[in-house]
Amino acid sequence: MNVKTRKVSMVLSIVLLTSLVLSLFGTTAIAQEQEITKVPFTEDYSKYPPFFSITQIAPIGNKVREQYTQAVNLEMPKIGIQADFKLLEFGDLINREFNNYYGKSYSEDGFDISSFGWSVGVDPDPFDIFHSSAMTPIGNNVTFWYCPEADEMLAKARVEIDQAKRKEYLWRFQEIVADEQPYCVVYIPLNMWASIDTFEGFSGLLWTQNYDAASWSIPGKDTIVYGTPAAVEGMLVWRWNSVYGYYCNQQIFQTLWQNDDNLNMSPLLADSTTEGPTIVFAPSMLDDASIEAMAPDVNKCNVSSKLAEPVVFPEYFDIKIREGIMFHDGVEMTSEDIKWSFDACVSPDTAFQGYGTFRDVYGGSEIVDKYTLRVYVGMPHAAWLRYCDTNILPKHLYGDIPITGAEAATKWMESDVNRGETVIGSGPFIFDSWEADQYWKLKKNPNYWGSKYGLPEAGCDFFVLKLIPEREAARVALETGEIDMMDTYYNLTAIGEDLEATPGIKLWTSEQFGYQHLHFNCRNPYLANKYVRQAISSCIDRQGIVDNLLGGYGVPGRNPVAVPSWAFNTNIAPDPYDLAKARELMDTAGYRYYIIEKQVTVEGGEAGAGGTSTTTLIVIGIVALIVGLAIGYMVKKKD
Amino acid sequence: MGMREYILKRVILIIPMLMGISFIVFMLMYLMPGDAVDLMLALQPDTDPAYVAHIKSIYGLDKPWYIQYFYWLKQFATFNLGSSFLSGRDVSEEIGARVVNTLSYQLLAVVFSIGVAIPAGIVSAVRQYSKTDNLVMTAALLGVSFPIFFLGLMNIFIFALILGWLPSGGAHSTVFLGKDIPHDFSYYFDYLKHLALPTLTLGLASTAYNARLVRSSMLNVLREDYIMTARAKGLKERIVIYKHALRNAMLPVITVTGMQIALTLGGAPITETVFSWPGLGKYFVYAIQHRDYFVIVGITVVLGTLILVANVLIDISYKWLDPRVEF
Repeated sequence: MNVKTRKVSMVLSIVLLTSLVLSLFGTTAIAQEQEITKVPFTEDYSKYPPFFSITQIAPIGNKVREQYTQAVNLEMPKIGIQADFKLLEFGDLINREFNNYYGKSYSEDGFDISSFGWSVGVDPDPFDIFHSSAMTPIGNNVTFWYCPEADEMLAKARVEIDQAKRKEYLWRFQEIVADEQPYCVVYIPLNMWASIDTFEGFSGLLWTQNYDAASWSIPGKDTIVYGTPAAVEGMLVWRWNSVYGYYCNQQIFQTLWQNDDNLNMSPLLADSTTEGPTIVFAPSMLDDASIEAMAPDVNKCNVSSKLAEPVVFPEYFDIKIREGIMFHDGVEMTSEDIKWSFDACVSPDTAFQGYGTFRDVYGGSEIVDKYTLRVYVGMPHAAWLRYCDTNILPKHLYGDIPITGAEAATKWMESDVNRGETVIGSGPFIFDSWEADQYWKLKKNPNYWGSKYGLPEAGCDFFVLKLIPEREAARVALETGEIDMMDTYYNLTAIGEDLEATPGIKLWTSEQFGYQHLHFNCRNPYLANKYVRQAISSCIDRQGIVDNLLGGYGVPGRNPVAVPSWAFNTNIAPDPYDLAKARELMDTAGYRYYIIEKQVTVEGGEAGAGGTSTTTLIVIGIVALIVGLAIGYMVKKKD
Repeated sequence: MGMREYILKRVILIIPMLMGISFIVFMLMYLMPGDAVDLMLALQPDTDPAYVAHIKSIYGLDKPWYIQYFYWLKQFATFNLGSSFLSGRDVSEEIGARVVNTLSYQLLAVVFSIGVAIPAGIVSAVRQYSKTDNLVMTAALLGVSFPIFFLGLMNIFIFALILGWLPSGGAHSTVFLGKDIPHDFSYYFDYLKHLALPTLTLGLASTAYNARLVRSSMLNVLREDYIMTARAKGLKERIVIYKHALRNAMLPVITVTGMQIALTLGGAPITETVFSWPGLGKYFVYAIQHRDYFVIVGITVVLGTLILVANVLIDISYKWLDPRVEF
């Protein structure tokens, strides 16, 4: 082989090697430039492994609630959430939620998501349910939700007397809740009662707001029999274990104020009030130190109100009661009875429940004259007069029962009033008799003091509250004339259509002050993300629930304030049932399935061009190899 | 051991058994989440934990369960069952107001059941595979298939709504409710009318079971040699059936009836709920739901005593039915 030939062969070999190296290098470089495009997977996620698992709980008892919770449970896998469903005995549920320290999850004996129902008042104060200083076990903020702006709105609304401003705060609060969704309001059922068709004077409002049995009557009947699903235990109005005990007692023992037909406060025992001079009150909400002292574990959450501000509020109110209010035994009511009733009711030793807010707002009292009581403000509150009220009992009869000391609670429970032996109030009905688990019977007060003030006398001679636990049995009792009215707590909406078609039966409906909702444990690592909460809200078919489970007797819900209340924010619409939107929200929260498409590209060129150039380089390399070998062979042969 | 010694021994044994029952129930109660104060105050606003602790201390709920049990046991030794947390009344008073109501329909149901099941079972056995037998057994099969709840509602629909013969529930009509109502004949007749449907429902359910049992027991006995001997002696068929066969066939029936008393008392909450009957069963469930501890233990002790006494009576009846039985 001559030198020239060697040179040619070397050049060709270099070309060959360069081509091979280039082709290999080129291929690697292009592979590194592949783009992985994630195309959102918009179909049902339920066939695929869930992003996370949670447990939904609901108390046994309300069939519609049980059914809708199960319906929601079936929807959640479609957005990638595996949800177990547990129906719990009420005591178990209460323990998991209201004794829950710093947000334990279901597996730690707390909860993740719960189906529940609240009944809020006409004059709402959602502070205790939503404010961060009211987290359980101190208050009822079971969700452990903390939002500084919401805290501010709640704190301001609680002490603002100007209703227009208060409405502004509460509307903003509702907007925040609608966005943050610690509560996801599902539906608001209509209250429904069923009566014989001759029943008259029924206002159709829930008992807590405006039940006034004195206005009820049935032409030609002297006795009204009202069927209830729950028992009444004890006659002590300050201590009640069922709504019916409270309700029945309301007809006997009266309060200072009542609701008029428009749900505004109107005087009952009270005649007028006079505000005292204003003073500056220390912040009414709990600060860090107070929470630490009351429930050290809660403070470990490091959330409490930083927004406590002093409040200017009247130091006291002088409350004047009407003259000539007579107890059933003929003795006139005085301011002494009011003071003694207030003191007895708030005393911790008497163990009367249900007066948390009353205990807060009542700051003691002193008698001004026979009909006037000066009541000091314990805590400023926008609805101070409404909250600073309770049923008035006669001191001359029950004044010997101790209201302080270790034996007070026992003595009250054993007292004649609780046992139904001496039950004396001032209302339009007088207590007649009762038998445990059977009935309460009241009779008309023939000397009712209210007549001279235009208050209605009892429209029937006797009023009987009869216990019938089973709805179908109560319905038969109504149809056979054994009872005249079925209470709303029988969940009559489920059989509303059927009842409407039954001859001789009349249905009564009214908007409800409560709502059914899901609430979330915001300390659960998944549910802490508001987009997850919003996604769950979007996979609830609220209208379907109302149409199919409530028979149309209700409305889809969104707001944790009662619809009939002046504070209800009408601008907020319920979340529509939209699984695609729910999946988008899950995406925003960081949970989404994708279809992965690979695209191969060359810098500055199309994917196809990149593929061609690689092939070309390989072909050039192979051709160069063949040519090099051929030339080398020919040169060798020539030599 | 003679009958007298046996009865005495059984009666004495009731006491440690009741103590054992009450101990287990007390322990189980405290395994349930929450107590009466938790349930009472949970939904109220501003439940200051210090206030909750104060209320619990008032009722002794702050103490360990075994200390509370010890206190209860001390009271029980003086026949004091304590006070109801919910109503404040003595537990014995609460139970007394309801136990008669429960026993009245339970005992009537047993009487009804035995009164119907024995003749039906005998007829079925004697006329095995006849139309009567098929009819009785089909009815019995339906009877054991229906849950009490359903049977109760069906009876309400038929007898109260459609026929209008009986009241749908409760213990008294409205006209007999009140403190000034005289407890005369019409008052008690009204009570009996209200008693009819719970009795019928509970009775029908156990009749169906007992009729099948009497039939099978009778069929076994009728195949025994001594029955053939009795017939061979020329005794009348009625005497063979009622004197020789039935007496022996009743032994398993009595045993099962004894067990049924416990079962029907356990099922009382369902019957009493359906018929709004003011008895112990419904009250027991209410007490459990509200964690009224002393009431729960009190009712358990009373029901336990009733069941134990019923078992002693059944043991005695064995001796009466079959003198060969030795204790």
